[in-house]
Amino acid sequence: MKVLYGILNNYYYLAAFVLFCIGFYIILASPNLIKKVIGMNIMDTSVFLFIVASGYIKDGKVPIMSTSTPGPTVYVNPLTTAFVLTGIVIAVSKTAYALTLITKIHDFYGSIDIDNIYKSGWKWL
Amino acid sequence: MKKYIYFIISVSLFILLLFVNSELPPFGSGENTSYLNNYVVKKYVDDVLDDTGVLSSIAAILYDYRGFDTLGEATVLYTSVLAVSVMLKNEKKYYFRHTESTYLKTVSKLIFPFIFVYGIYITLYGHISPGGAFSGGVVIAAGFILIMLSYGKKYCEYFLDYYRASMIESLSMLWYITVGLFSVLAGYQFLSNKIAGIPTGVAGSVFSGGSIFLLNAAVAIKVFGTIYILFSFIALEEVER
Repeated sequence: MKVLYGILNNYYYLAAFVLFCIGFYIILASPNLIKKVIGMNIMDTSVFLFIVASGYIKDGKVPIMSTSTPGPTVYVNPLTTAFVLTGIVIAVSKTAYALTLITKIHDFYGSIDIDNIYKSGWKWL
Repeated sequence: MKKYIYFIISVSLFILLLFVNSELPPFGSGENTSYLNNYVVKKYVDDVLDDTGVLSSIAAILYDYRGFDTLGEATVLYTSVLAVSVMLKNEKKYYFRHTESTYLKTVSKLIFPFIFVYGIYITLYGHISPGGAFSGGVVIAAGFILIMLSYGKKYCEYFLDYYRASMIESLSMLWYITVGLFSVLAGYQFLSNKIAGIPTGVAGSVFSGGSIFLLNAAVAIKVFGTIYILFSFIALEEVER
C-alpha cells in the first residue's frame, strides 16, 4: 500500500527511475558502442530530473528576485539547479571523450559492435 | 537469451527503486530541501540582493558564492578538450562531408546573425533573467556548427581554426582567474565580489553585479570554444578522395 502511495505522490521521481532503468538496460543489452553512450546519456538525464525535482517546492516561483514589487514569499530551491549545471558539464565532457575512444576503436578493430570485437580476438599491441 | 537476463535485472532494479520511492518525502513538500529549514538555501535566497546585487540567485550561486566550483567546471571542460584533441589531432584520413544544398546554405547564412545575437543576449542578461553563460555559449556554438554543417569545415576554419579557438578558450580561462585575483590584490579571498570593494551597480540593470558580469562573459566564451572544438574534432566522416 505504501508503494502505491509513493507512486501517486512522487511521480516525478518515478519518471526519473523509469528513465534510469531504460538507460541501464540499453547499456547492458546493446552490443553497439554508440548505443551504449546513448544509454549513458539517458541515465544522466534521469539523474538531472531527479535532482531538479527534489528541489521543487509547492507554489514556489523561479528564484529571480524583484526590486520594485514585493515578490512571492516562496521560491524553489536554487541550489539544485546550480548543481545540475555541474552535472551537465561533466556529461558533455565524458560523452565527447567516449565518442573519441569509439573512433579509435573503430580504427583499430574495424567495427564498433562489441560482439565482433570479441570474435576477432583481442589484438593487444 | 542474454537479453532476457538483462531485462530481468533492469526490472528488478526498478522494483527496488519503487520501494525507495515510497520512502522519499512527497514531491513538492520541500521537507528536506526547503529553505524553510535549510539555512544554506535560506541565505542564498534571502540575501542575494544585499550580498551580490544581482537578481538571479542561480547566477549568484554560480559566480559568487561558489565561484571556485565554477572554475572547477571550466577545468573539466578544458581537460575534455585536451584529451579529445590529443587523441584526434593527427587523424589525417577523416574529412568532413557537407551537403551541397543551396537552400541549406542560403537559410543558414540568413539565420546565423540572429542565432549569434540571441546567444549574446542570453549571456549578457544571464544575471537578471533565466539563462546564463552556459546556455548562451552553447547557442553561439550552435550557430557556428550550423555554418560548419552547411558550408563545410574548410570554410569555417578560414576564420576560426583550431589554434584560434584553443587560444580563445585558454584566454577566457586566464580571464576568469585574473578577475578572481583582483579581490586577492585588495586583500580578500579569491573570487570574492562585493566585500572586496568591487562596485555592484544598480540591481536590475545590465552592468550590475560587479565581477559576476565579467565571469559570466568569460564562461560563455569558454563554453563556446569547448563545444566548437569538440564538434570540429568528433563530427567527422570518412570520405573517399
